[in-house]
Amino acid sequence: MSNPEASKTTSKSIKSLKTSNEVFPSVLEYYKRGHFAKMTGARKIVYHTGWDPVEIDYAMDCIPMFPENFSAACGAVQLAPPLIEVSEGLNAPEDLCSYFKNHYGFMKGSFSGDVNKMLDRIRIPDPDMVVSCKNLCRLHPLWMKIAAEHYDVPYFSIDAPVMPPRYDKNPVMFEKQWGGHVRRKPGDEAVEYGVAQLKQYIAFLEEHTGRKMDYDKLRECVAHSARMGEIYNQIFELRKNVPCPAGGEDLNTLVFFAVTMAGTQEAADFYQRVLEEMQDRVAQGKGVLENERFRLIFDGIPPWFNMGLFNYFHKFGAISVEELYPRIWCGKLDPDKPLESIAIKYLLSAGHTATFNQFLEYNRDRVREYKVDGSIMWNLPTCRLMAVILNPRDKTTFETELGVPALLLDADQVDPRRYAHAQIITRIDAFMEMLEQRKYG
Amino acid sequence: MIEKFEEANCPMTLKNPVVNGLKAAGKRVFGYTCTNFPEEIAYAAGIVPVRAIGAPGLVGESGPLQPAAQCFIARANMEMALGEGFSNLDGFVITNTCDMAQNFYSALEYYKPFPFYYFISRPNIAHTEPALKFFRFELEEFKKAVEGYTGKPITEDDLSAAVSVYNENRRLLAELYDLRGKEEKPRISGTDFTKVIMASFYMDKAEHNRLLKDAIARIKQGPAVENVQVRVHLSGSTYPDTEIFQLIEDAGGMVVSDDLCIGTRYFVNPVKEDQAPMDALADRYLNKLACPCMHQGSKLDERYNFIKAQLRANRGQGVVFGLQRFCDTHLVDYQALRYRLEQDKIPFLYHEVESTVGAGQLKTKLETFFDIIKGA
Repeated sequence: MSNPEASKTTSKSIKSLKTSNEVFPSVLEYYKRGHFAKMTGARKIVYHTGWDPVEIDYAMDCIPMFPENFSAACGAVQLAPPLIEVSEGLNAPEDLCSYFKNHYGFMKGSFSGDVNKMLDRIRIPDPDMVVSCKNLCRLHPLWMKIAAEHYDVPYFSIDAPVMPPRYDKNPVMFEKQWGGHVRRKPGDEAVEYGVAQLKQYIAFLEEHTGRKMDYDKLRECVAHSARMGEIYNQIFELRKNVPCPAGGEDLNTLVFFAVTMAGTQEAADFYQRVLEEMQDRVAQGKGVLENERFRLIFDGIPPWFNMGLFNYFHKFGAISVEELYPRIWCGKLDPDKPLESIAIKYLLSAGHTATFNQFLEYNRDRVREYKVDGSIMWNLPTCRLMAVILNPRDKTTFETELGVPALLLDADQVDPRRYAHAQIITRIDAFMEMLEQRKYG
Repeated sequence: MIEKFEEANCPMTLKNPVVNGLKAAGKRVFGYTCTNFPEEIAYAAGIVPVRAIGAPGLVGESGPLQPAAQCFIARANMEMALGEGFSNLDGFVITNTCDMAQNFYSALEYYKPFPFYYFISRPNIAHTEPALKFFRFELEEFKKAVEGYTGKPITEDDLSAAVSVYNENRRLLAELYDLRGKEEKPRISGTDFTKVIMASFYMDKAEHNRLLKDAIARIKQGPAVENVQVRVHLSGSTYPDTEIFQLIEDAGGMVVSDDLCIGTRYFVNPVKEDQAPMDALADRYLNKLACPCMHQGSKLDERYNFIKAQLRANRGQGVVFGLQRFCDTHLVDYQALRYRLEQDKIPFLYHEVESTVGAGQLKTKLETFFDIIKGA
């Protein structure tokens, strides 16, 4: 997929799937829906961190909104720097999470002119409640608490326990890689802890909406989410085909529905259409690239301000065929065990194991099954999860244990000020040249 | 008066004469990082827990294996663990707190595990029944692991005895803390107080108690610290030495109270002695004074109320935040605390520390800060 803009300092990506182009209008529509609910008071707005059990919100007829998604959208429309600068003026250090600083600046600043005009397109509605889940990083709950105080609304915090190393010896629960799940069964005590907290969360929503949970509705939402998960997982499976029918430029965008609308029929139906489009391609033997020469992993939160970077790889005949980021939101659920399976999807999955073993198993599988030639690690020095827990050990294991060259690039997900274009491009060019030598001699 | 404590102030355990003395006496020694580690369980098994608090100025040969974007305390600890600095330890236990702790466990497990190496999954929320139940289960698992390591069961009596020793240490440290801040003139400086508490991280607590009792008696009889112009509360996590306290004193101030992991967060909240010891330990180590890693809804108020109470009780005139670079939890909590302080018109100063305290910059900031307080 040729993108003439891809070598510019920052550019939008060109997606290869038609369905991918429906996402950004859907984002705007989603925000409009939130504003309408806020204006009419018809449904409560609940703020969440990045990976939260929104099936419960939908069962309670609430609308989940994501400051993190808002920050990503600000990144995509090149709006993050003025918001981040407000935060930095309040002593928020430059190496603190850019997602947080973007939203914190939005809350604390006052904006006019062009910034305000751009904000009007993607402005996130104010919350009626704020919820956080410590399943990705420890900053999330603190950020949400600050948001709850800023808007003076009730706050609820869900803990995702770090899974003790002894679970690495438990029986396998998920064969191969399934969405964001870790492979081994979590201990009963952890599942019990997760379910107990979800019950408390339901009680919190009941208290602040004045409605009782309808457990049939919850099972229905979990069934939608389960269907969505099955389809979404098939999408990842299809990408094992050579040539690959959808690249990282598509998947990182497509993830929007899985993040915000898990538990709705709308999300499941959307992914069904994506799947069908990809199945057509595979049946015709078509890929994103006419001549696919390199298959890459791209790990890290992608640069929303410069998604054209994914297209830049195309000039080498290279495509990102597998990414950890969009996979996280894919969960296997059982509608007959709604709370238990929500707990496993959100509280006891990838991202919170105390050891590296399960990540290593995951990397081993995807390198083999996706026939990967190299790995790009988009490292975020502002993100403790990426820059500390995952990297640089992930790079070491790719290279030493799996024999796959890895390129660690320091940049950011929303702040173009932390992105040195010339340096990044030079390093990518050198990396691709090395892969060329290695694969084709 | 505190000379006997000073020789234990060496965070690199390999070079710490007190730790080496314990080893020479045949004691087993475990390392740990955070105040949330239930030391009593190890102590009840005859193991002396010693704390990893980083080390000043340590620049790592382990650099290529380490993430750059982590706090210096974690970097220095990893340097010692990957190198020889902690090589005289028999084991190491990480209790879940922050991203750095999680990384420390998984990195060392991959690169160079200790002979006994354990991760306690402590919840990041407190004051809830499900969290307490989960943590109680985790502590039982840890106890079993220690018993497996020593080959000897840990009895309730062993645990009760350990709790008693540790509670006495907490009571004595609290008494010494009050000698610093409660009276009009401190009986001990912030620097010296910190040297005493740091020594407790490397000594058998029974021995520390013995020295502490003696020191408290002498400090009570001794002269007060004169010429303290500004009394400050210091908020932060951990420092590997007392440089920041000394700089504050050199500028005419005095740390009279704190909410530090090498200060009050270590010794407030005794373990209840009228409960089964394992239940009491789970309760204490989960529900103790909240650190920024916790995220129960009440956490910020818990933290702020504690700071305000300390300012009141110790006549503090302002708050100095000495926060580790890359320490997200402290850096974000600061944002919430600053609004509370502004609202209550309490002066505060923000300063980031890394491999050094940044003496030159801090000195200038302190001079201005103290002028504002004195002029207020």
